[in-house]
Amino acid sequence: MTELLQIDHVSRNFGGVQALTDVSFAIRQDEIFGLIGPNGAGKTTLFNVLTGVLPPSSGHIIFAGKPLDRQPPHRILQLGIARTFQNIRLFSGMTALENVLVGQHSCTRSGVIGAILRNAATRREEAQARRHAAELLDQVGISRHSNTLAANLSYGDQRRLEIARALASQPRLLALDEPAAGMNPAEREQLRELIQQLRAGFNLTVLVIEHDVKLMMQLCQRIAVLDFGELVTVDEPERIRQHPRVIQAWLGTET
Amino acid sequence: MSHSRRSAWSTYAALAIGLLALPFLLQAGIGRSWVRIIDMALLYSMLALGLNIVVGYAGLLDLGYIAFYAVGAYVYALLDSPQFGLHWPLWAVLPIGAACAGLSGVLLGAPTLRLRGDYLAIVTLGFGEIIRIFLNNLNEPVNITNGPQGICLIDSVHLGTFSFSHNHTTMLPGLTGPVQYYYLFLALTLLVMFIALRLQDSRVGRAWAAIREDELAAAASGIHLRNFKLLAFAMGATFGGLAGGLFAGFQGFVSPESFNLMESVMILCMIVLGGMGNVYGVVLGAITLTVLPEALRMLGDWQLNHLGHVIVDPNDLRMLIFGLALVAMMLIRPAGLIRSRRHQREYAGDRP
Ligand SMILES: Nc1ncnc2c1ncn2[C@@H]1O[C@H](COP(=O)(O)OP(=O)(O)OP(=O)(O)O)[C@@H](O)[C@H]1O
Ligand SMILES: [Mg+2]
Repeated sequence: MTELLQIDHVSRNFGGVQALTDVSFAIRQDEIFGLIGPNGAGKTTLFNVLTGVLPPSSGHIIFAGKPLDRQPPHRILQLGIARTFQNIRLFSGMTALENVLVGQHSCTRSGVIGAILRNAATRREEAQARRHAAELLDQVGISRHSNTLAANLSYGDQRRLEIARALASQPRLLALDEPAAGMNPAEREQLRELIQQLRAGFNLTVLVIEHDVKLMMQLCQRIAVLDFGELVTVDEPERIRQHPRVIQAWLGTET
Repeated sequence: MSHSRRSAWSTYAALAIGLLALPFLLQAGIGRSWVRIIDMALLYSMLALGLNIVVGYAGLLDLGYIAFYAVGAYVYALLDSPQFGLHWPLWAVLPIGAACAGLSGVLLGAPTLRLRGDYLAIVTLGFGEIIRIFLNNLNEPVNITNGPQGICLIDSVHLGTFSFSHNHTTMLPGLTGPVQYYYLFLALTLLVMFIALRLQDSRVGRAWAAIREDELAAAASGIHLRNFKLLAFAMGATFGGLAGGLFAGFQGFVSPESFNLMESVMILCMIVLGGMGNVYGVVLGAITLTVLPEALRMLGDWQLNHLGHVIVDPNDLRMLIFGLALVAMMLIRPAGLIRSRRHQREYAGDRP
C-alpha cells in the first residue's frame, strides 16, 4: 500500500499553547483513517495545518509526493485535499446547489468575459456544473433540498451538504472534522454508510475526526490518537481499544 | 405560456417607450433642468453599480470609491482639453480612462487584501483622499492637473463631428444637448446593468458571494482570494472610471472638490438604500438620491414664491431627510428598497 499523505514532525504552537508537538504519521492510499483524542488535543489544529489555514511552527506535510509547505488553502484544494469544518461553514445565504457549485470552482474555468458573453463554452460548463452538483446532492442524500437555503437545512443535512461541497472539487483526500457531531445514533449509522460508499465510489482516501469511538471503530481501518498535542499511537481499531494509554487517558472515561 | 410571454413583451415595450420619451416629457412638463438632473442620476447609477460589485457582491467595504470616478474624469480632462492641447477621440479616451481607473483599483486594492470590515473601510477612505490630494497638488513643479482650480474647457462628449452638447433641434424638435446625453447615458447604464447581472449569476459572481459570506470556506473551496478580490476592485473601478470620463465630458469642467469623501459616502448610501447586491435596487437608490435633493430645492423655491421667504432651508432639510430615510430604512427594510435574493436571506437568517 502506498502512502498518500505524510505528516512529518509537525508542531504548532499558539503563543504558550503547544497545540501540536512533533506529530508524525502517514495515511495510506484508499484507507479511512481516524483521528481521535480528547477536547483540545489538537485535532482541528492538525486539519488547519494540513489545509493551509495555519502554517506549522515546524515540520512538513507531504501529499502525493509533493511538499505542501506554505501553500495557501486554495492551492492545497487544487492538489487534492478537501475538508469540512467542525463548526459548519456553509455559505448560508446560498442554496444547497449553489454551495456545491462554489465547491466546483477549481474544476471550472469560465471568467469575466465568459460570464458577460455567456458563450457556448460557458453555457456548457455551467450546465455541466449544475448537473454534477445535482448528482452530488443526490449522492449525499439531500437532492430534495437542492433549492433550500443552506441556513434552513437541518443540522445533519448541513453536514451532508458540506461533504458534497468538498467532494465537488474532486479531491483525492477528504478530511472530515467531526461529521457526526449533533447527529442521533440512526443518523450516525447512515453517515458511516455514506462515508464508506463515497470512499469506494469516488476512490477517496478519508481522514476523519470523531469523538464517537464506537463509530470510529467500525468506520476506520486505522486510527491515530492525539493527546495534548502529542501522538499517542497509530494502530488498527482493535489494538487501539486495548492500548493502555488510550484506556487510561481517554477511552475509559468516554463510555 | 405564450400569453405570459406576450404580456412580458408588452411590458418591456411600454418601458422602452417610456424611457425614450422621458426627456421630452420632462422638458415639456417640469422644465429643462430636469433632463440634466436625470443625466446625473444615470451617471450615478453607473457609479453605484460599480461600487455594488465591490461592496454588494464581494462584501469589501470601500469608502474611497470616488477616487476611481476622479481618475476616469481626469484622464478624459487631460486628453481632451486645452490643458495639454490634446483632443483625443471618445473611443480612445473612455477606454483609457476606464482602464486607468481599473488599474488604480488593483493598485489600491492590493495593499488592503488582508483587511476586512472597518479596517478596510478606513484604509480605502485614506486612499480615496490621497488621490484627491494628489489631484489638488499636481500643479507643481510640473502643472499636470492644474491644482485646485481644476481643468475647464474640456471637450464635450463627441463622436466624430457629432457633439452631444450641441443642440440638434433642427434635426428633431427638442433634441437638446442634455437629451442627447440622456440617450447616451441610458444606453451605457443599461450596458453596465447587463454586465452586472451577468456577472452576478456566474462562476465569478458566486466566488465573490462566497468570499462575502465566509472567506475561509471560500479559500477552502478553491477560490483564490487575492485574485477574486482584486478582480472585484478592478471591475468596480472600471465602471467608476467610465462614469468619470462621461462626467468630465458632460460637465466640461473637473476639479478635485467634486471627488471628496461625501461623494463616496453618498454612493454607498445609494447602494444601501436601494438594496445592496441588487442591480435594480442600486439603480433605484442612485436615482432616488440624485433626484431627491433637487426636488427639495424646488420646495425651497416654492416657499420663496408662495410664502415670500424660505422658512425651511432645503439644504438643511436635505440632510435631515437623508438621515431619517436611512434610519427608517434600517428599521423597516434593512436589505434595501429592492432586496437582493441573497442578501435578503442573510438578513432573514436570524429570524426565520
Ligand atoms: N487559532 C487558535 N489560536 C489560539 N489557540 C488555538 C487556536 N486554535 C486552537 N487553539 C488551541 O489549541 C489547542 C488545540 O485545539 P484544537 O481545536 O486543535 O483541539 P481539538 O482536538 O480539535 O478539540 P475539539 O475536540 O474540542 O474540537 C486548544 O488548547 C486550543 O485552545
Ligand atoms: Mg476540533
